[in-house]
Amino acid sequence: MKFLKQNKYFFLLRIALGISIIAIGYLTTMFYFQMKDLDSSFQSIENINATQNELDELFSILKEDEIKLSNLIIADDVAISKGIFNREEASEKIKNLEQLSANNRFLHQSILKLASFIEKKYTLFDEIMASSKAIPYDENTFTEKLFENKRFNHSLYKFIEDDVQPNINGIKLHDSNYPEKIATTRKTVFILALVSIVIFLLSYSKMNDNLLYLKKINNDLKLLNDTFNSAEKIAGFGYWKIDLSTNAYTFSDNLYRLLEEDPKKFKPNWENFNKYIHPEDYEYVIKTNKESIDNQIPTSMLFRYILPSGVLKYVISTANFRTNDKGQNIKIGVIHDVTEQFKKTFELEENNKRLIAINAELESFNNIVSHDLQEPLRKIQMFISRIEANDLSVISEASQGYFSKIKVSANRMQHLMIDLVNYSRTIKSDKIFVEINLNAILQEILEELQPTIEETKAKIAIDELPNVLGTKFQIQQLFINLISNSLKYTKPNTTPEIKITTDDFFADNLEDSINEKSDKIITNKTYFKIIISDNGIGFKQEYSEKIFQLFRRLETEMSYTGTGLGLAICKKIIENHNGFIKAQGNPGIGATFIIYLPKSL
Amino acid sequence: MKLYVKYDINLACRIIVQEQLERLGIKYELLEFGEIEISDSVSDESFTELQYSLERYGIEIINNQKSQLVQRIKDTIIEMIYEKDKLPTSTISNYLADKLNLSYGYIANVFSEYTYTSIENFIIIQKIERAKKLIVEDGLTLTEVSYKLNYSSVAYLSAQFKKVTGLTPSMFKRIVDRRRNLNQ
Amino acid sequence: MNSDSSQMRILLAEDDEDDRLFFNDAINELKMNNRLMTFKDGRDLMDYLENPETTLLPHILFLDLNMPCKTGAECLKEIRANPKFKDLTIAIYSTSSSEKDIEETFIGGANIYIKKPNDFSKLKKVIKDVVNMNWQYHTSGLNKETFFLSI
Repeated sequence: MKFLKQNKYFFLLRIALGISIIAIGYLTTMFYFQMKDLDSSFQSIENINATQNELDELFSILKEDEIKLSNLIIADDVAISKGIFNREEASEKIKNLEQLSANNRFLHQSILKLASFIEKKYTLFDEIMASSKAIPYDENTFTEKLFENKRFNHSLYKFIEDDVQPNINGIKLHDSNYPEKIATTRKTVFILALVSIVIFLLSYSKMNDNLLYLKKINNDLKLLNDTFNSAEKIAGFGYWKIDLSTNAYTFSDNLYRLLEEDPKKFKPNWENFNKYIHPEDYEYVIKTNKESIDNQIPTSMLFRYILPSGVLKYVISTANFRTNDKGQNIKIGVIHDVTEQFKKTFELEENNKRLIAINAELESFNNIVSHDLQEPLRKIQMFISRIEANDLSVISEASQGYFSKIKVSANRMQHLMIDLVNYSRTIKSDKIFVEINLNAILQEILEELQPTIEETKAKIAIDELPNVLGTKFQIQQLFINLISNSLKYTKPNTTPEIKITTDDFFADNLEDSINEKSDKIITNKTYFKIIISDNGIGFKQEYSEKIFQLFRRLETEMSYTGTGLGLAICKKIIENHNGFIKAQGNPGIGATFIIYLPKSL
Repeated sequence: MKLYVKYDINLACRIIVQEQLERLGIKYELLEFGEIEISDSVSDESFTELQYSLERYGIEIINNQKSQLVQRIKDTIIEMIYEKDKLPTSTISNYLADKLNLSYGYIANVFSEYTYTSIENFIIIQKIERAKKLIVEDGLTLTEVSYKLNYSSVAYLSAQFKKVTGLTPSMFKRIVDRRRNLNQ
Repeated sequence: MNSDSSQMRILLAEDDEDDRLFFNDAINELKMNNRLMTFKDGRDLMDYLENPETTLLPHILFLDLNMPCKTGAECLKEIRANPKFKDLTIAIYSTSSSEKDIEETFIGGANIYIKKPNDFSKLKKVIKDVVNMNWQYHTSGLNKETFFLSI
């Protein structure tokens, strides 16, 4: 994205530069032509000034010669008349004028006409001189000639005034905007300079910017490169690149280090690199790589290297294709050292296998307890019962006492084994949770416990209970244990009453005290609360934690038998279901067990 | 002179029984000595004749009037449970005594002598048998069953069901359902 | 000559000698009119049952689940697969009391499930109750399809 923007920016800069060059070129050309124009104007002004000068000088010569003519006539000095007129000089002036006016067609024609006028003038001079000296002297001729001269002068001046002078003046007038031209040129130069300066400044600032930017990018790149290099080192990966058109390889420093070599130790090429591949993996790597290049598909391989030191390394090699800015197809790959992870995974797998084995052992332990251990015990009890039925009266009273103790112990052992099996079943529980209808479960439990309930004449009231998520046999066991507990620890001469209710309002402070041990927030949005309360013998509140411990029995009368596993099983089941169980006791009044079960998994 | 015979009493008795049965034209099958399967129904006259002819050989038909009485008791109880909508309101002992025109003590004695169980127990077994039928065949709920069989409560029915079968009604139903699925 | 049409024919397949003894004693003490045959494993039992000479089928078979050669479960399967034995009552006689085992054997075709008692008088009572109940089914035309007894 940024790259694209940069590109567009460079494009704009180029356009600006092009426009600037065109502008400067235009201005320079204009300036050149203006200067050239100015130069020609200057020359023509100089020319016209010289022409005027020559013309003025020509007239002074003519005037001088006119005066000389008058003087000669008056003095009648013929002798000096010969060569007295400045005819040569006048011709020279005319010639100069002809030269000066060579660039101006109209002026040149005027000058040529003027030359003929001047020629005629001097011819008149000669004729006047000749008539004044004529022998016989003719007065009329002479006067006529003077008149003619006078008329000629008149037409000569008229010609100059009407023809030559306007032409000169025209040229003069033409060149009279010279100062304006100078001003225009000045402006052009100024604008040119200004534009140049602006462009230069702009370019400079831009170039400066670009330079700074480049420098920054360079720094960033350097940093990135450093970071990459250290990242490579830390993360244990190496990088390689191959230009597929030239077959030129590039290896990163850490790639060498991965192979336990110094960076740039060997020439980066395929053969040098492949020497490290484990022989068993070699074929696979070569084959995969060939297929990858043939079909242009990315690769991801797990294989092993054997390093010079003999160390085995597990690496994951991933590579993909891309085209560089020159349009060349290159393949870029990363080799990641996963030896540690692989070892850990391996260890985990081993541990897992061990765990499965332990679980299987636990299972067989379960079978041993529930079957193999109970078998001999059952036989012991069987023989006890037979002796009891047939021969108890023939043994001594003391032995009868011992015998009774043997019987009690055997029975206790039997109960312990049954509970132990139940407990270990809850430990090993596979957490397959399904939705359980507690009402249905409790109905079944009541059916199950019906004989005891009838025997104790207990009254059991059950609220409409929610559906919970759980393992059915465990939830069943949980309620069987709790209800059995209530049926067992009853007060003599009192009808046992058991209430199972659900409470949607967590108004009491109990939730806080439960929360102490857990970072979970218990609310009625996330948990079901089910309460089992009885009017039995109860217990002291200080025992409310201990009663859940394994084999922990409260000091109760011997008439209450139990293994001390029932509530521990309940706690375990509740823990399996990510819930909480809490006990409240009041000696002589009753016990209350509160269960919190999460509403979702 | 003295004659010594070695006789097979089993075989002798068997032949006598066979002869007498054949003489009276009764279709039979000897299962094992002492047990005869009579295929057809036998008229009272034929039965008395058989009884009389066998008695001469010291062979007694055990299937006598007492066992017939037992059968009548059973029939009465089953009829009582199955064919009447409501079970009798009077005590069962009175009902049976009236119906069979015998003292209940005699009835109860004969019954347990021949069936190894008490009339009360037999009634319970029959009621639970009906409950099973109602659950499995008619798909009734326990509440409906307990009403139909005149139980005071579902809990009481459950308790009795459990006592007779060792199973809770729900487990019973589950087993029947799963067995059916298996057979299909 | 003490032949009686109400004589109950009982079979027991049990690999444990003590258990066979207990069972035998219990039945003797019950003084029921019956004839008990015992087998020490499943194969012996099946050999006897499938022998064509065995014409008089037993009324009830007590079957231990855990036996060498052929387990009780295998016997149960074979017996239930044979229509010849369709009226034979099968009582499983096992140490296990897991509901799963009970349910599975009932589904597999057993009629009675006995958790081996740990008291001799209890054993007697169990046998008496089982034989009695079976007798009721045998003599009173009760539906054997729904004959389940867990004791």
